[in-house]
Amino acid sequence: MTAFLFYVFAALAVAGGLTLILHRNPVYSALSLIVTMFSLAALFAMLDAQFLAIIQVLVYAGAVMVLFLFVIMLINVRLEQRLPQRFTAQTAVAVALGIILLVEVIQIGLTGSKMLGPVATELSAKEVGRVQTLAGLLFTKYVLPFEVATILLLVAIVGGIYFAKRKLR
Amino acid sequence: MSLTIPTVNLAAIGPELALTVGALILLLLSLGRYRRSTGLLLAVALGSLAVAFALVIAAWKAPVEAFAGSVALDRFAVGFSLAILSAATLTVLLSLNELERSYLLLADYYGLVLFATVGMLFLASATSLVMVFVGLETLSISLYVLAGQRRTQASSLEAALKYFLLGAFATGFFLYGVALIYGATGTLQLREIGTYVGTHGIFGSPLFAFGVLLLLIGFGFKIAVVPFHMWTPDVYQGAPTPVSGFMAAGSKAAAFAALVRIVFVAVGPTVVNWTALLWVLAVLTMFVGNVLAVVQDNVKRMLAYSSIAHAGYILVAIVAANDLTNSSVIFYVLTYTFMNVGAFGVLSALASRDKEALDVHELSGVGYQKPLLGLAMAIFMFSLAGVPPTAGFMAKFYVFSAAVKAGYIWLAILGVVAAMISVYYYLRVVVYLYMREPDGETTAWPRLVPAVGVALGVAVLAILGMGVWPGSVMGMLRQAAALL
Repeated sequence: MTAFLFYVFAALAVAGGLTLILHRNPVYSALSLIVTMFSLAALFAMLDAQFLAIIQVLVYAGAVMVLFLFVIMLINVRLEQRLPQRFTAQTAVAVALGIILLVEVIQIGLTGSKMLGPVATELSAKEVGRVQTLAGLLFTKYVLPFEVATILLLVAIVGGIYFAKRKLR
Repeated sequence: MSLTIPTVNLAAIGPELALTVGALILLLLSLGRYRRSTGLLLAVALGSLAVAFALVIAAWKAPVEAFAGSVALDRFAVGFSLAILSAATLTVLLSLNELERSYLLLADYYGLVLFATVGMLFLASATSLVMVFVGLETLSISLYVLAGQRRTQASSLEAALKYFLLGAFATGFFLYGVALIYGATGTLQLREIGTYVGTHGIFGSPLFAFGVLLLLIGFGFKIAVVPFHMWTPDVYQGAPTPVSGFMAAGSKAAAFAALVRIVFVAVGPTVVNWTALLWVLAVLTMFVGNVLAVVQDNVKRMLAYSSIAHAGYILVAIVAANDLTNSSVIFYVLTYTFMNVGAFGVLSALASRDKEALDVHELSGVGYQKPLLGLAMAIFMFSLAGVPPTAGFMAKFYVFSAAVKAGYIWLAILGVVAAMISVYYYLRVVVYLYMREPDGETTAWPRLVPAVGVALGVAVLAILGMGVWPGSVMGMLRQAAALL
C-alpha cells in the first residue's frame, strides 16, 4: 500500500514539474507547481515527517504560491513569449550546472547516508519527524534562536509597512 | 518524553534585552502624539544604549554562557560589543542632521537602528551556527530598511533594493553552508563542530568542506570582501549618510566577530588548510578596494571602496591565526568604528537641507569656513590612511605585526603597499579642505547641531587617545583573546 501511494505521489510530483516548464500559460504553470508541492508534502508525510509535510503545504503550496499567483496576475503576464533560441554562454553554464546537480543526486542516491555525519539523537526515525519532538527542541535547545526569530519577523513587518506607507508624515 | 530545560541566564542576553525594550518603546511612541518630540525619542534610544553599555561592561568581570550553548558573552564578545554599541550611539547622535533632509520618521528610524544593533550583538556572542544566522538576518533586514529611509530619493530606494536582493542571495549561500555542515557533523554548536574537525579534518567529508566554503561566501558578501563587493559603493552612496557609516562599521564589526569565532572554534584545528584561500582574498580585497577608491570623486563612494580595503586589512590578521589575531582585530574594529562613522558624520553635518556636499571639489576651503568640522574630517582621514599618532596607524601596525609574527611577511609587505596607495585619496580630501580656494559663490554651510558636535568630538578624542596610548587599550584587549 505504502509503495503504491509512493509511486502515485511521485508520479504526480514529476507530472506537476513537467507541466510547470512545458505549459505556456504562466498561471497554469504556477498551479501545476502547487500539485508538485502537495505531492511532496504527501511523500514527507509517508516518511513520518509530519512537521515538514504541514509546513510544505502551509508555506510552499500556500503562502509562496499565493504570492506567485498575485504577482503573475498583477503584472498581467500573457502567454509566454518565445525568445529566439540561441546557444549562449549562459546556456552552456546552465547545462553544465544541471549535469553536476544530476551527478550529485545520483551519487547521493547510490552511496546513501554514508556522507552524512552522526546525528546526536537516540530517537528512532519515526520519532524524529514528529511535531512533539520538534516542539521539544524549539523550547529547550533552540529556545534562544527561536525567540530571536520573533524580533527578526517584527523588523520585517515594520520594514514592510514602512515602505508600503503612502504618506511620509 | 522528558524535556531538559537549558540554563536560562538572562545576563548573557542582557544588552540585547535592553535594546529590544528600547526599540519596542520607540515603535510604540511612533504611534502616539510623541512621535515628533525629538528629545524624548533621543532619550529613549540613548538610555537603552547606555544600559546595554553598562551590562556589556559588567560582563567583562563575569563572562557567561547560556541557553544550551547558543550564546556566550565572553570577553571576546565584550570587545566587539563595545565597538558595535559605540557605532550605534554615534549613529543615533549623528542622525539628528538627517532629520530635515531625509524626512526621517525618527521613532521608526531609531527603532530600526536599535534592532540592527541587537542583531549585531547576537552575532558577536553567538556560539552556534543557527544563532549566527538569526543574528545576521536581524541585522541585515534592519539595514535593508534603513538604507531606504530617504523614500523620496530614487538613489536611496535603489540602495535598499540592491542591498536586499544581493543580501538575500548571500543569505541563501550562508544557510546552504550551515545545512551542509549540519549534515556532515550532526551539530550546530561551534565547539562540537570543532571536535568533529579535530578527528576528521576539514576535508574529511566533501559535504563539510563545501559547507565551509559556502559559509565563507555568505560572510564575504556581508563584510564586502572582493569578489563579493559589487553592491557596496551603490548602497553606501544611496543610503542616508549616517546609515552608511553604521552599515560599514557596525556590520563589519559584528560579521568579523562571528567569522573569527567560527575560524578559531569550529575550523580551528586545521586552519592551515584554508589560510591560502583567505590569503588570496585578503590581498585581492586590499588592492581592489584601494585602487578603485583612487579614481572616485564622490567622497561617499570613496569611503565605500575604502571600507572594502579595510576589510582586507582585518582579514590579514585572521590569516595570521595566532595569539595576536583576536586582540588586533578588535582594536582595528574599534578604531574603524570611530574614524569611519566620524567621517560619514562630518559629511552629513556639511549637508544643507537641499544639497549634500559629496563631491570632493565641493569640500574646497571647508577647513577655513568650518574650522572644527574641517579639523575633525582631517583627523578622520589621517587615521583612515594610518598616519601616526592616530589610532588608525596603531590598528594597521597591530594587524600587520600579527601577520609578521605568524611568518606571513609577504602578506604584511603587500598590506603596507596597499596602505600606501590609500594615502593618496585620503590626503586628497585634506588637500581640498585646506589648500583649494572654493570655486564660485561661497556655500552657506548649515549650523552644527550640538549633539552632532558632541558625537564628532568623542570620535576624535577616541582616535587620538587610542593612537597616543595604544598600550593600555591593547593590554585590555589581550585579555579579550580568551574565548569562552
